[in-house]
Amino acid sequence: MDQEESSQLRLEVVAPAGRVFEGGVQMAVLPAVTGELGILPRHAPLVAQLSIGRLRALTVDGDWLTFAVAEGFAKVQFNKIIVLADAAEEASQIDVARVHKSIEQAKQRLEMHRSGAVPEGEDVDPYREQLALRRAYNRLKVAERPDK
Amino acid sequence: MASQRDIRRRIASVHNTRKITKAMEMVAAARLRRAQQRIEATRPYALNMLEFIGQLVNYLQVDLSLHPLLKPHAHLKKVAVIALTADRGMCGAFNANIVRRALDRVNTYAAEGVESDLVVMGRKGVSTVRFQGYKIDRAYLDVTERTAFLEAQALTNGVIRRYANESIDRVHLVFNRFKSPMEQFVTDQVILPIQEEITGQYCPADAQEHMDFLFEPDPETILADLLPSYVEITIYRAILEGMASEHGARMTAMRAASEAADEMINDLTLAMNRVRQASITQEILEVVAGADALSG
Repeated sequence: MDQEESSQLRLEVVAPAGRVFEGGVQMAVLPAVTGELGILPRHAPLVAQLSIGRLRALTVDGDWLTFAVAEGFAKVQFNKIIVLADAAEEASQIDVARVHKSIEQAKQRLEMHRSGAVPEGEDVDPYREQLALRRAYNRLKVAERPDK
Repeated sequence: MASQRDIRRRIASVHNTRKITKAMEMVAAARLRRAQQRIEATRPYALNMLEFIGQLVNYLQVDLSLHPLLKPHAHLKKVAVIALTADRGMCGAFNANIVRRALDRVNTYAAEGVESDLVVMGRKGVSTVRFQGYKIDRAYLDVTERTAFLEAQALTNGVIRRYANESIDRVHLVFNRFKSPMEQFVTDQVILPIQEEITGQYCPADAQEHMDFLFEPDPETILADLLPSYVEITIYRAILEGMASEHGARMTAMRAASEAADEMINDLTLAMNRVRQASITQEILEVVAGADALSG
C-alpha cells in the first residue's frame, strides 16, 4: 500500500459540541456494536452503529491517535469516514481529575436516588447518572491505557 | 431636605451598584459570545445527522409514518411540556416569559381535558412553577454547557420511552430561541411526534446513486436509533440557544440597570450641588446680616 493512496482516506470525528478531529489517516479502528471494525482506504460503503469505547486511527505520519467515544454512528463512503459520536475526546486531552470528579458525583447522586434521600428541591434522573458514569469510566480507561 | 452627607452616601452606594451591574453586563457579553460559538459548533453534527437519516430513509424506502416516534397518536389524553429556563435570575423577564408560555400551554390543554406532565430545566423555572402550585414531573438543575448534551439525552430518553408506549401523546418544547442578543423569542415547538419535514430533504443527490451500503447491524436497527438521536440534538440545540438568550437578556437588563444608575447619579449630584449652594447662600446671608447688625 503506497503512501499516496493510503493518505486519501479521511477521518472526521464529530460530536454535538463540535468537530473533534479531521484529517488524513492510513487506517481507523471503530468500536462498532458488532465488534471492532478496521477501515482501510477504498473500503466499501458502510454504515455502522458504534458503542461506547475506543476509536483508534493511524495518521499519515504513522502515529496512533486514540479517542474515547460514546455511542454513535459511522459512515464510510468515498474514502471518507464520518463518525458521529454522542461524545468524543482525544486520549491526551482527557482531564483525568475531572473524570474522577464526575464519577464521584454520579455515584453520589445514584446513591441519593436509591436511598430516597434526594434533598428538597433537587431531582435525580438515574438514567442520566448511569450514562454519565458509563462515559466517565470509558474516558478513564482510554486516558490511562490509550494503546490497550 | 436630605443633608449633603446623606446625598453623598447615596451617590456612593449607587456607584457601587453600578459597578456590579456593569461587571455583570460585561461577563454576560463574554459568555454570550462563547454560547454563540457553541451553537455554531453543533452545526456539523446536526447537518450530518439529518443527512444520515435522509439517506437511510431513502435507502430503506420505508414508510416512516409507521415508526413509533413519527406516528401521531389518534387521541390526546396526556402530553408532556418541557420548559427550558435558566438557573439564575437578573436577566429581565427571560425566565418569567418561558414559564408563562409553558403554563399557558398546560392550561390550554387542561381546558380541553388533556393532562400535562411538566418537565422543567433550570432553578428559576422550577421554583416559579412550584410556587404557582403546579406539579413538576422531573426537574433538571445546574445544567452547564459541558453537561448539556447529557441532559438532553436524559430528557429525550424519558419522553421517548413514554411516547413509544403511548403513556404520553405529544411532547412540547418551550424555550427561548436565539435570534439576536436583543431579541427575546419564546418558542413552543412540538418535538414528538417528530415532524415529517426532517426526512428526505437532506439527502444529497450524489448519495442516492451510491447507496450500496454495508450495515452493521441491520439498517432498521440503525434507523430506530438515529431518530432518538435527532430528538436529542433538537433538545441540545434548544438548551444552547436558551443559554445564549439568557446571556443576551442579562446583558440587556444589566445595561439598562447601568444606565439607570448613571441617570440616578446625575440627579443626585444635581440635588447635592443644590443643597451645597443653598447652604453657602445661607452662610453668606448670615455673615452679611451679622456685618449689617454690627455696622448698624
